[in-house]
Amino acid sequence: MFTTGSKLFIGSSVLAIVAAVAFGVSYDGAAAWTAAIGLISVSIALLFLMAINFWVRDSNVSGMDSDATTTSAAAQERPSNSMWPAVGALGGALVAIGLVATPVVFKAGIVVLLIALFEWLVQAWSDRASSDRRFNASVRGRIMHPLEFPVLGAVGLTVIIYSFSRIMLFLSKESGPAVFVILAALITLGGFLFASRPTLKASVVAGICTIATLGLVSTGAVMAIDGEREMHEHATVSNEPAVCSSNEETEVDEKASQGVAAKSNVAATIIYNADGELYGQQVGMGEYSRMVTLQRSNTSQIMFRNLSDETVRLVANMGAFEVDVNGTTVTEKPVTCTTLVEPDGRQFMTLVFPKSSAATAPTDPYTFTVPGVEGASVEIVVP
Amino acid sequence: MLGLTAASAAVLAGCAKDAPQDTWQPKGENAQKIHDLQWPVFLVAGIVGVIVLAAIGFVVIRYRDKGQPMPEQSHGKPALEIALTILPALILVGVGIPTASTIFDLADESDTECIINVTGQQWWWEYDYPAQDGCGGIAEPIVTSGQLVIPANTNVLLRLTSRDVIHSFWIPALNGKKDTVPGRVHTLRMQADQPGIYAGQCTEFCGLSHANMKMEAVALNPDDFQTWVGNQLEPYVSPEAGSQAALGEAAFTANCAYCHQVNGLSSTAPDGTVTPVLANPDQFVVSGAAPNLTHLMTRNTFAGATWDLLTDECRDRVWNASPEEFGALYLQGVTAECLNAVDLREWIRNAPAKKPMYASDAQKANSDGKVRGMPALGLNETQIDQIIAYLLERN
Repeated sequence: MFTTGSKLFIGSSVLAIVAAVAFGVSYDGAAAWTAAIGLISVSIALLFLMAINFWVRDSNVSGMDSDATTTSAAAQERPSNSMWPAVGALGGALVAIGLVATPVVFKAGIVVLLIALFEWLVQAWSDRASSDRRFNASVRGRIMHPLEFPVLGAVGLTVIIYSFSRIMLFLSKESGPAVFVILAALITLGGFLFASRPTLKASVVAGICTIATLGLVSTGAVMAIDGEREMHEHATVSNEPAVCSSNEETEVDEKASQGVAAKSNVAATIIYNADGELYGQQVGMGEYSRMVTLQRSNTSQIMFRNLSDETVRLVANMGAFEVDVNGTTVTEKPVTCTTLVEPDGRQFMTLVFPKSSAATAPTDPYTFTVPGVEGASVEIVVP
Repeated sequence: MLGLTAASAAVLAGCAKDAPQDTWQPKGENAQKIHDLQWPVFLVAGIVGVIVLAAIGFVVIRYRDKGQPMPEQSHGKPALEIALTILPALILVGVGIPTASTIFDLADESDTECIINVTGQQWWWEYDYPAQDGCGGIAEPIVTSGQLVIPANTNVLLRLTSRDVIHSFWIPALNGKKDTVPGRVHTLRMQADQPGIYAGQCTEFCGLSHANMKMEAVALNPDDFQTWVGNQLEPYVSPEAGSQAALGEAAFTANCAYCHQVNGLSSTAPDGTVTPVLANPDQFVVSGAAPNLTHLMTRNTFAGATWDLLTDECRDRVWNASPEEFGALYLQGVTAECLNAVDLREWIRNAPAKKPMYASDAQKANSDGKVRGMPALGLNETQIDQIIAYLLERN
């Protein structure tokens, strides 16, 4: 009596009702009511679909009706194969997992679902263009390729670049350059071989490129999961007077001052020479001087070079100011210093003087000094 | 017709005589080097352009479709192709060699005789002169704004930077343009052949009032420059007690000195303690700076060189002075008779209404409560009169 399709909908409807009852019994409050009403609504919708299916007898064409074998909808050319239902199912699964796991997966699932829906709609529409599948495919391509190719290209590039970056961050600083030099050499060699053999089959080239890309992506994925190499962060400056006046050191990042960007932005270079003298040198001012001028309210990069045989640090004495702390006037003497710099070493500090030199107490001018070295001082003028 | 009129107007504009920012009228050694490079390059580019356009025109007209049969198709003429590759390459080499030479010449700092720091911020320029033996000797640092005063016939090196966004410093008559970038110091040579005023304009879009961020370089002969330096280092003189200017000093201290520094200005507490009045623009302005007004009336402009401090008549007298007379006229500064009180009054009354700035309470909300530019202070007319009287003595 019931057709096969009808039975499926009846079973699904009963399942929805059972789920509604189970949910209603197991949970309290508005959520239980919402879920129960939703599931019963689903059950009613499924029963409605069951009724339609039952009425049209699963849209079966009678074998006795000769006209129907050629004119009914079911007798038309079947739609072409489509991967979009499977992609849609993947999107649905991502949505379900994302609801439990993390919003990112949920959002990705929604995006995948929407893409699958749109692609499937366009494919279904193009399948009705004619009875010629190749023509239908070209119709679909005319609509979708201008969208698909740039998007797929961008996604592919992103995956490759991301994989590349994960590999670079995984490898040690020593082995990284060697690996990539070898890799670059291999790519160049491969390109040369391809170019020197124009008769090579396209499928062979495509296969090699695919294997290389998969290798890159899978290696990147593995290294992304394994994590980045250990990167130490060292303090390069301190604002603690106790630290700035001490001769003890905890950490020094010897390579922190090798950044090209930092070197190209130096407002002043302060040099401590072998005679225990401190000098300043500024861009455009050829001579060494006991005075440097730094602009007010402006970020100034200072490079300290230690040309002596001692291990010393540079201290920027940034004046003395009276400040109100809970109704009490307190004199603050801000300082900034580099870490201890080894002989022939260099270190950076970044300074901002919000007030002019006139604002500080005359007894505490802005200066650069080297702790423990008498007379090693450079005046800082902030106009 | 409309297009033809617009094109004609654009072409004829190039014939203007009164064009202070004309790149074809160099007034200094560095600008002359650029000029010497640009006219032959333009000439070569123009000739090439005319030849290419003429060739295209000839081909389009001569070989247009007239129903003739398809001509014989060839796959290139190697001799012609090689010639058409080598010829542009030779032209580029011909242009490239003097270009590279000029670039190196303009980057040379070895002959510097005077150093000036230039700092851009929205929307004005600050010039500070470090103490130095150069420039004929400057004993104490000098800070000014609006007008860059330089000694004529002297190799000046500008050290350019910015406090907020990227600006670009350009005085066409004296040199090419150079970007000023926060955190970086760029250098630019500057030299003027004769005393005079040379106009410029910020040429990197820097926000709402970019178009109002002007600059002027003032070249003085070395003696006049030393006089100017001496004036800038003159100690502060308080207004005569009871005068309008003295009332203005109090009004200035109460309203303007939060951001604007006047060196030497001090306040006296009821117990007689005298303390210097120090501006704290870092607490109120995004860039952390406001123009130093210690010697405002030695300049001819205000508000980022957007308006003149001189009346039109006095301004013309200075701008049109002969090189011999210019220094003396400029060093007169702004007198009461020559003061452009109309614009200055409007500016003090409501600065954002005169020059677009981000200075309202709503706009401050997007920048930690700090303004970009000068806010309206809500001063009454009496206070404005007093402040103008006070500023008139800042010379």
